[in-house]
Amino acid sequence: MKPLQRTALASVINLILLGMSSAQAADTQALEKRIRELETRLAKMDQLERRLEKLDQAGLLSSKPLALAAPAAPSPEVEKLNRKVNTLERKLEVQDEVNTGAFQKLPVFDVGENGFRITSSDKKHQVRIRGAIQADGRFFSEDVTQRSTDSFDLKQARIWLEGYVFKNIYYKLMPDFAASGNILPDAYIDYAYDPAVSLLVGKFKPSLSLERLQGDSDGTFLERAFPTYLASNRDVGIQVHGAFGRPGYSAESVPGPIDAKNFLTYQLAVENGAGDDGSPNNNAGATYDSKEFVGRVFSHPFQHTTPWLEGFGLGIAGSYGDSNTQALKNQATPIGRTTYLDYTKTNSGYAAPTADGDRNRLYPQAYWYAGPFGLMGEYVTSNQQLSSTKSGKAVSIKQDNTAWQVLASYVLTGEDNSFGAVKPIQNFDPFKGTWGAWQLAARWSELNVDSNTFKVVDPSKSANHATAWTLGVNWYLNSYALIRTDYEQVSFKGGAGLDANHVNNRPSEHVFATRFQLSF
Amino acid sequence: MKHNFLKLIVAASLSILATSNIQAAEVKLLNVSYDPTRELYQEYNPVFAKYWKEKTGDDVTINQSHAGSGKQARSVLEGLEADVVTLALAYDVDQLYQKRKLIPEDWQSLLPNNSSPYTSTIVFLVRKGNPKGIKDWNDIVKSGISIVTPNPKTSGGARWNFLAAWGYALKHNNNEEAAAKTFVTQLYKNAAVLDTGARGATTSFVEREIGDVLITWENEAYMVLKEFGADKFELVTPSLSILTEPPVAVVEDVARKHGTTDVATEYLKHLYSKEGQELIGKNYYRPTDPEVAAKYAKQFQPLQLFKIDEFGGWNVAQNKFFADDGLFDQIYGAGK
Repeated sequence: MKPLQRTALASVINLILLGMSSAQAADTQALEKRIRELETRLAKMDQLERRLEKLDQAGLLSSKPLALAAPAAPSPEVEKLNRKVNTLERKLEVQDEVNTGAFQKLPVFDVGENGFRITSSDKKHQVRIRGAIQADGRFFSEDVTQRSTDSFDLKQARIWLEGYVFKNIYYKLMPDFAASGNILPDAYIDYAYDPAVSLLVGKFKPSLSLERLQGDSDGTFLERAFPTYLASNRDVGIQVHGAFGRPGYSAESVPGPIDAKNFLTYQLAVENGAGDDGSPNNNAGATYDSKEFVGRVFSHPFQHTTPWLEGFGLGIAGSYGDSNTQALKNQATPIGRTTYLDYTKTNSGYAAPTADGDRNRLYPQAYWYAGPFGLMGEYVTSNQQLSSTKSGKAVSIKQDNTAWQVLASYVLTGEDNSFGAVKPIQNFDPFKGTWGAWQLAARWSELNVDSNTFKVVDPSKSANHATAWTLGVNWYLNSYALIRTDYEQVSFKGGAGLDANHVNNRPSEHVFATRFQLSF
Repeated sequence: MKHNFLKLIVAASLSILATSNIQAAEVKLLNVSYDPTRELYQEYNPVFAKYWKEKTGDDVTINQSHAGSGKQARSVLEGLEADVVTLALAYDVDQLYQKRKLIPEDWQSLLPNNSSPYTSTIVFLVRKGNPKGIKDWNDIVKSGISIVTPNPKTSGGARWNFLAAWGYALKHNNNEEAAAKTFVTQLYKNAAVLDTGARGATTSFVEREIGDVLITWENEAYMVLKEFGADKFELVTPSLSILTEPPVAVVEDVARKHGTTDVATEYLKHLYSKEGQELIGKNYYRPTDPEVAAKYAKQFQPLQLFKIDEFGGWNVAQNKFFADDGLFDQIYGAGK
């Protein structure tokens, strides 16, 4: 308390005491005692005030922070450490720069829905590793003559490479370890410089039968229908092919002999000529000079128009060749693969006929895929000269075979049907309640063998007509795996012995077949 | 009458031509260069653009790419569409012919002075006060000296650095290669970090304060003194160094495709003009024009220079020292 305030207080108290009586003296003593106590306290407060003033003057009571002393210069050891750290940091940055450059040049390895692929960092080169395993079971019912054998078969065991180098040069190298004779079905180079014109050289599927041009892992049934087997399975040669887009649209470059994407496609090839269902072995070269010319034109005329018509395609293919004593391959039933036309079983005195002379084929073909629905059909007329001998004399016959098929399929689970594989929207996973994709299919197919054939071939041992109807269920577990189940009944005319100058009909074939397939 | 009519036609045509507004062409060039030439071409490009505009009426825009010389050559070989290359050494430019025939075989004779409009040399940059007392090449191989120099595998300047050191070591050891190998082995043992290019090495030394000495282009050292202050660094000129001759070339294959052959050729030719040589001198390169060189001679310290010819030329030097498993690979593996 300041002196002025103390004086004022004392004055006030004294003034009050001046007006007091003796009766009030006792009170006065108490008051005096109180005043003395107050004075003592005031003195103490004075001391406290003086001490606070001293502290304030010393700056210990100030709100401003005290100024810190300037930091000392870093010691040489610290500087040395700093430089070491800087050096290490820079080394790491340089290493990072080098690694980034190196990483950018590393190829990209991709494993997923599209299989296994290695692509160079500049995207100019690619290797794709693919494979397919097909394990079949065939079970014949009502096989009273034991003509056929129930069996489990390894139909395909393929692992192959395909890809491109320098962006435009495609290749495919596909061995099949389950094949008995032809262990290299496909081996070709395709220089796809421009979608309108590409050059394919090597061994590949001839562009004849529409169903043959479906991928070997695609398709609707375990096996193809009759028309397919009147064209070569594979052949060696050279093909020019190309595609055009609908006016106003660009064509997509599709390497290889199969193009189901573009508005208009063409293929023109010169091949050795492998014969009906023929496929040359690796070490089998051509045995004669003349070659087979193969041509095909196919169109998707409604592409980029009405969605439900976009998947409609039609075309025509044909071949012309001139064979020279080429062995004929026996014809077998589609699913059961049992021989019903055996060229080696001839009439008495006749040698087994060979294809010798002109050979022409004509394949009008079409398909239509719209949403879950699919329809495909083709017809073939195959004319070829056959030659044989009887008692040393040459025999020549003209064989005009015809065949046709219609197949229809329907995907039950909502996926789109297609010429290629059905891709499930949801993979099979019972714990999640997803069941993959399911497809139903039906097919009718017929083949008629020219009656001229039986001048040489024994009609009691080979049928002259076969009719097959097939029902199928396909279960696509995912993009890679599927299970096919087919039932086929084939009825024949002829081929089952003579009975009072009448050739009996070979008993119908009833076959139930299933396939487990993995392809990637 | 016929004569008058013809005169009228000609006059009318000339009038139309004189008054018509002919559209100026716009041209783009890509100059793929080595690391430290950024400042030079930053100054040179607008000068050339103005010159070209006055000469032809056309507008030209020059885009630059800078990195280690070897790396740049590889980029062009891998598809970078350079109209011109202005690299650090003839070997890198020659690869464009050897590997892909992008330039003619006789490219080096197409422009004066072996297609080198400027030269330089290799010097040292040290901290202010030269605390480690570095005066010459033999000082930087001493124990305890930390060197910054780029990697010869990617940088052209680094290869010049190596050859300068090698040349010095040969000269001071009776041309004994074993002694020279020991010398450069110790040099790279002292290397704190090997940047991918000369500019990266400068950054490490100047900004990151790594190392005691930077082995670098003479022009780069002067640029550092100018940009960062002569109060922080000193330039030390060794007694002996190599004459560096960075060449330039039109990438004819690309220029033909772009339709830029004429402007690209003139772009390089103009480097030899007085205007170009002045800019070269200002940016601390040694001009090849004698008159301009004399004008800028004072800014350079005198030193003894030898040429790449002493090694048998770049092909020999590249194969011997810098190819895979060459001497540098052997040395740097030993030096680590």
